[in-house]
Amino acid sequence: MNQRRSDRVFAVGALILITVVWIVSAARTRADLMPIVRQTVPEAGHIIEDDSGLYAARTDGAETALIARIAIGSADGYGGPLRLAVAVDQSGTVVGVAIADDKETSAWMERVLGSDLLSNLTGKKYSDEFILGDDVDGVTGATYTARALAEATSAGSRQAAVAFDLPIKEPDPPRIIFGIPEIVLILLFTIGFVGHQDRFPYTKHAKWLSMITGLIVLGFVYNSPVTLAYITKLVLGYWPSWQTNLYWYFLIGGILFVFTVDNKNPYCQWCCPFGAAQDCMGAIGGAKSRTPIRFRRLLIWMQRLLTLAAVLLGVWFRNPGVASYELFGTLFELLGSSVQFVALGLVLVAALFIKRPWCNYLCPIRPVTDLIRLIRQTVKERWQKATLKTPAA
Amino acid sequence: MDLTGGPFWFLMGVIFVLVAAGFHAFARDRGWVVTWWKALLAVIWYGVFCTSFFAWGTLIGENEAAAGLKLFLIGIFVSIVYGVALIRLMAHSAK
Repeated sequence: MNQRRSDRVFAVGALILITVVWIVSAARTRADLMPIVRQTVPEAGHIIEDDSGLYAARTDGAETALIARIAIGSADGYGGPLRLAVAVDQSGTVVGVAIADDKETSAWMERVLGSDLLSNLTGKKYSDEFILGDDVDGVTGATYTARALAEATSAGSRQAAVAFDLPIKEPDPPRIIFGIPEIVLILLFTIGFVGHQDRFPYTKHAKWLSMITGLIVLGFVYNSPVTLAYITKLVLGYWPSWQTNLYWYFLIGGILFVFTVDNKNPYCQWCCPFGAAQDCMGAIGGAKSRTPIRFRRLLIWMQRLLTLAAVLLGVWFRNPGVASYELFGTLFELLGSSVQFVALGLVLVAALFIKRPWCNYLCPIRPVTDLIRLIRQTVKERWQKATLKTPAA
Repeated sequence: MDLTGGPFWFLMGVIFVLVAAGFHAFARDRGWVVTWWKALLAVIWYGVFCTSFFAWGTLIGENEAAAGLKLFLIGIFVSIVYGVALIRLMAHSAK
């Protein structure tokens, strides 16, 4: 089997496998929420679910009194939808919250759970704004998760307030978040697009400018490189609201757009912060591409299989965070296990001598970009074949 | 005899002189032109390398072995990167 044919067979096989795992994992029964709901009002004698999907917490005894209503609020987190059980008393005050389901990366979630965020959400009124950095304190390094928790509390408390017949003000439309990361990303894609053109004389300078900017802004300041979690999120259909996740849409959309138009990768070689970190190490150590030709295909296939396995895991557990094995957070946020730090040290030291060892042998983004390129090429070939066969009018 | 006092620093001085002499012979064999600022960079590298070990030992003595190990690993990482850059810089001017 020649190389192109084996690539196509693998791509089709991988897509079928992902689809099968997607369907099987979606058909699994949903978890029982009662133990989580109980955590929000521990003093309740009994809790009953009503027809509307809300829970009523009551005291025990001859005269049972309603303590609180509990609703499941939902919001978009970093890895997908986050669901929170929110208990609200008759005055509309949040009396307890408990996480029912989340798709967050464990390191970010641990950071949030180690903060005062959940206890600060308790005591707020259903009519509050729940805006991070405004009436809710954020958590450094876990902004998406913290924002999702605040929004889920708002959504859940409003649902419960409706059941208490409390007056509900129409919520303000979500604020569009467009800031420095989005602007920088657009600029970097523009530099990448222009720099790719054959007539552009300063490609090398533009590349380094783009790389260093990506390393500092997308890496160390905002820690927002493309991760496998983004791709798995796409596969699982967790499309976050565009108003609060413009960066995500620009990143995925920009890569797909430039690939479609130009057949060039605008991200990996141009603004990937982790790639830039390896390039900096390579510049210090004089790194070269050292892959032996006879192992080249083997290493590419190992990288593809590793990525496929990670995607399948993420889809199976319906949690994009599970699938991510990248070391980006370890470098840019200094978060991770001892194993991750050791791996990061090995990768960075190897990058002194070998050109981009992570990108060439381990990064899950490369197989994904290979797949996009293959699909583009196949569609283009089929299209050309079809148009050639069509007789001229 | 207090080994952490005078004898220890005497030993460190001896080791430093031997390392400096070894480096001089090593550089001469490879035809490196070691100017004063390159020699200064090499001394700083040696300082960073040794400090990684000293910091580890000191923190073990303070019952902070885990922190000491982390600091040691960071120091060794910096030493490797700095060392590679230094060797390339030295080799760049080889006769």
